[in-house]
Amino acid sequence: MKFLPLIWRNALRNRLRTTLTLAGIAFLLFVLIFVMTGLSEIQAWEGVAATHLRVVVQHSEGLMADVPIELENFLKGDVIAAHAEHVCKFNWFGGYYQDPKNWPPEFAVDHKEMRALFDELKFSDEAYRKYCETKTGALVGISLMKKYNWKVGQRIALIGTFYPVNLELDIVGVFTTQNPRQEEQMFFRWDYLDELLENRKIVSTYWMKARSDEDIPRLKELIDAHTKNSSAPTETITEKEFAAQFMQMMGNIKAIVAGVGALVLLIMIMMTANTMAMAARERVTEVAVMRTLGFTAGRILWIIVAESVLVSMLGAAIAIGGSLLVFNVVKVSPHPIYFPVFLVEARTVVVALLAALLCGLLSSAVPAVRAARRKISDGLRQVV
Amino acid sequence: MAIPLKYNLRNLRVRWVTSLLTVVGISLVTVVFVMLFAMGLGIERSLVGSGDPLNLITLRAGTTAESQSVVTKQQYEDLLGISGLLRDAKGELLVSPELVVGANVQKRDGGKANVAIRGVGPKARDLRAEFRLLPEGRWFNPSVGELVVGVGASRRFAGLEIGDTPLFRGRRWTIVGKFECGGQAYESELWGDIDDVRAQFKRDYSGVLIRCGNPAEVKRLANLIQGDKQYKLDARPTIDYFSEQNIGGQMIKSFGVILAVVLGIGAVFGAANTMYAAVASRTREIATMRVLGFSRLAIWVSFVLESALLGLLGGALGSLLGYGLFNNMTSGTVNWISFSELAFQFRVTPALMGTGTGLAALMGIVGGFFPAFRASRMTIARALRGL
Amino acid sequence: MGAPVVRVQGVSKTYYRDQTPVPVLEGIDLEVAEGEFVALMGPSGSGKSTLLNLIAGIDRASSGRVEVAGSELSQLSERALADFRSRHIGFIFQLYNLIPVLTAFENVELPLLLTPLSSSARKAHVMTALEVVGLADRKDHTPRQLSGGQEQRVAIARAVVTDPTLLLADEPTGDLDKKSEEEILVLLKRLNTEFRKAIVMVTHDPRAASCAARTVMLEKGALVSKA
Repeated sequence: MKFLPLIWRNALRNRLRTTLTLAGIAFLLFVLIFVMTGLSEIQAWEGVAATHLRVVVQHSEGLMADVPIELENFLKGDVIAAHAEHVCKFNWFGGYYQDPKNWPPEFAVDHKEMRALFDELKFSDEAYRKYCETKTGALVGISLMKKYNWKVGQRIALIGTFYPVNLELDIVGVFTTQNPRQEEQMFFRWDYLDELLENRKIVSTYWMKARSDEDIPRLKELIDAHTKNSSAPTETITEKEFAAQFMQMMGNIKAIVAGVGALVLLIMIMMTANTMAMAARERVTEVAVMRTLGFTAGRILWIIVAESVLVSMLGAAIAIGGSLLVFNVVKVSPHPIYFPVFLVEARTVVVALLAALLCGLLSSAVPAVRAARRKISDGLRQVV
Repeated sequence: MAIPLKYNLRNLRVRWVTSLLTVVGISLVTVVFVMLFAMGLGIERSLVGSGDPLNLITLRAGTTAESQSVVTKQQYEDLLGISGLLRDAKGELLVSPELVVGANVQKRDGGKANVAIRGVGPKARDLRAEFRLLPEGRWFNPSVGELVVGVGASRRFAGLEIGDTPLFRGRRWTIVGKFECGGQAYESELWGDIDDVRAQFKRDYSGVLIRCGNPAEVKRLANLIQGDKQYKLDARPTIDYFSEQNIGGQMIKSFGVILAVVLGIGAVFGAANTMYAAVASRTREIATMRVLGFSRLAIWVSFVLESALLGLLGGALGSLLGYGLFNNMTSGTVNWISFSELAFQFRVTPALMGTGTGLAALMGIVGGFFPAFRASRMTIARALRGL
Repeated sequence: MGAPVVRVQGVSKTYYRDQTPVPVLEGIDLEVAEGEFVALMGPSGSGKSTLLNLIAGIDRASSGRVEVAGSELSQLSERALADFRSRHIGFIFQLYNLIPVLTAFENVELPLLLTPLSSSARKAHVMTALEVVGLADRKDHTPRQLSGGQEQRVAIARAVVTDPTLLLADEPTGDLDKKSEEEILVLLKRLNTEFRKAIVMVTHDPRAASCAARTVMLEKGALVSKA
């Protein structure tokens, strides 16, 4: 646009003011990006889980209740096998490593089924062979290995809390996978846990892989109907719903984040509107002169709005650049335990840009319209 | 020697659009701060208040919460053998074995969450000074699947009123009473008879609550139990136990402060802009006042005060809004230690409102700091010529 | 007549635009006696306003001595100059320079706030000053509600309310219509003859200058005559 230099110079007319506005917008958008990233990290599991067709059978009263071992026969039987395969017992151990603050996610699973069930995990055949041979074996995600400085072949001790026993595990292999959050996990053997618990056959949940999307609702029907009148009624849910449970527990966190986001946007608009109003007030005569030269009212409006949008988008660029640098490159995390991964997503960047655009448009609306509407003679008469 | 305040007040009024925008911006920052801090205070009150200086709690060695801990009947009986335990007027030991389990229940505002169910011994009420059974119901009878519900749990969850019969572990339980407990975490729970709960949920105890005559005795007994390896138990004063669980509350308060500071910085830039423009439009006035004999300092103070006023107004507005919108609002959150729902009420205290207003005034002062310098450092002669 | 109220000796003033020096006044000598009414005339750019500013202590001379009411201004700090102005100088501007958000009363009261006078004492002084300029009935009006001439009269009231040693007027009638101009000049003359105020008035209008007892001409930064 040939007016870009004019718009640009208008913005630079009062360097201090433009800088302050830019800084304000950049700060506020940074906060928005931060808060949104926090929310998206908490929700991360939901997104990933949807793709794997996995289904979880848990007690209808929640994870604090166990499901009976007898259910396993039914789940491995023909009725269910028509719709799902790789039935696997799955218990979260919930123990800590050395310091009660270190809680690596440890899962006790059926070693024979876990490879096929969690096929997105990549580990060597050798590692898997050792895992099946060693009762105390454990397959550990690469991030966890790095975090605690573990080596393959090392024996680690995990202190139990929910389960009144301690684990002595041998790390037999390392796995990697596409989703970095999954690399913060470790899998050991359910039969080992059972042995420690004196063969009481405690099963927390059953996981399995549905044969297709259409099989999932059928599985829910069949399994839950079967357990309905027993002492342990179940709820069969998809992995995505399973992950969502944890979000739900936090209650209105989505509402809080949305609220904070809306407030940030509002503050931004107030501030920028203030700037634009002040700038407009000072340029009344100038605008009148431009109109005398032949600029139409519409053009004037456009120029003022464009300036506001330009400044806002520039502020957004700074905020986005800064947050990408801090979170995605340097990998700072606000709380390494609760947020092992804290990455700004493309979706968040888009929202930030849209927020800046909206801010630029809304904040200049009133001054721009007033400037366009004012009679040229009034503008020329004005003494500042 | 000061420029009268009415000069600033009237100028704020004359430039009311700009003043309003700045004030509202600052007030929004204050609302965010007040809301988050009120949440933290509310959670804190529910948790920290739950500790009684005369109680101590024993858990399995190495565990940090009742929900994780398993204490066997034998361990409980070993404890009863300790000499010097407090007895009540009837000669019974002031000790309560308890079991905490959980069940998923539908919340009133949608979704499900875990509600804590606590099996308690007969002395449980005596160990909680603030316990009060509401007149509408009664205490439960043992072995028949009766429960009493805390007011917090009743408010947060659906189907937990007196007369309701929720299904837990394959059996229908009946809620026969409702209780208050001084705003403590217990109000988010369902209580039943310890043996009843043990039988149905197939667990032993999670912990044992013991009452002592004075805090020194609490410490002594806690050290004794924890120190003696034969018990295989950790023992702590409940005051400490609950404060340790308060990470949630502290986290939210810190988050509130950090967010307010960062948002505040944004607002400060806005206030600075406003004040720079104000100074620019009043250069001749300022020069005139210098000619009349007002010192540079007087000018500086005047503009900083004007900016502080903006902040003060914004802070007062934001604090009042925060109070009106959030005070006493019931909410719940997950207690990350027990994984059960903890009901709490937002607490907007006068101190919090004062702090919010003060912070906002500070924002104003910081924002006006440099523009005020510009005003005070103007060369009179040039300013008079309108430069 | 006693000691001169104003004694300017060998005063020069040079401004700097970027790095280029712009000399405005050179080697000025001037004396104003107590109760004297002096007009300062000259074409635009001759430095008359600058000289006035130096006498008022609003600006500092590059060299030379400026002595007003017994104080050598170059020796005074900014703080001291402010104090000096509030005690000894009453300044009247071409553009009146009243504070827009204050009423006439409050504008006139403003310089009194720098004194230890009580609220009621201040009120008395303000009303007296407003009566002298004939605007006591407009005391609660804001500048917007007054005409140009009325504004200037309020400004004059403000200039005299502290009973200063010296009144300095920079083109006081420059922005006024004929009738208002008359009123202002009459008022200034009255202040000089009736109230014995020393006045230095910058003007480019010979008719205004004729109200003064003496006219001093400035041209390109130097005095060309001392009538």
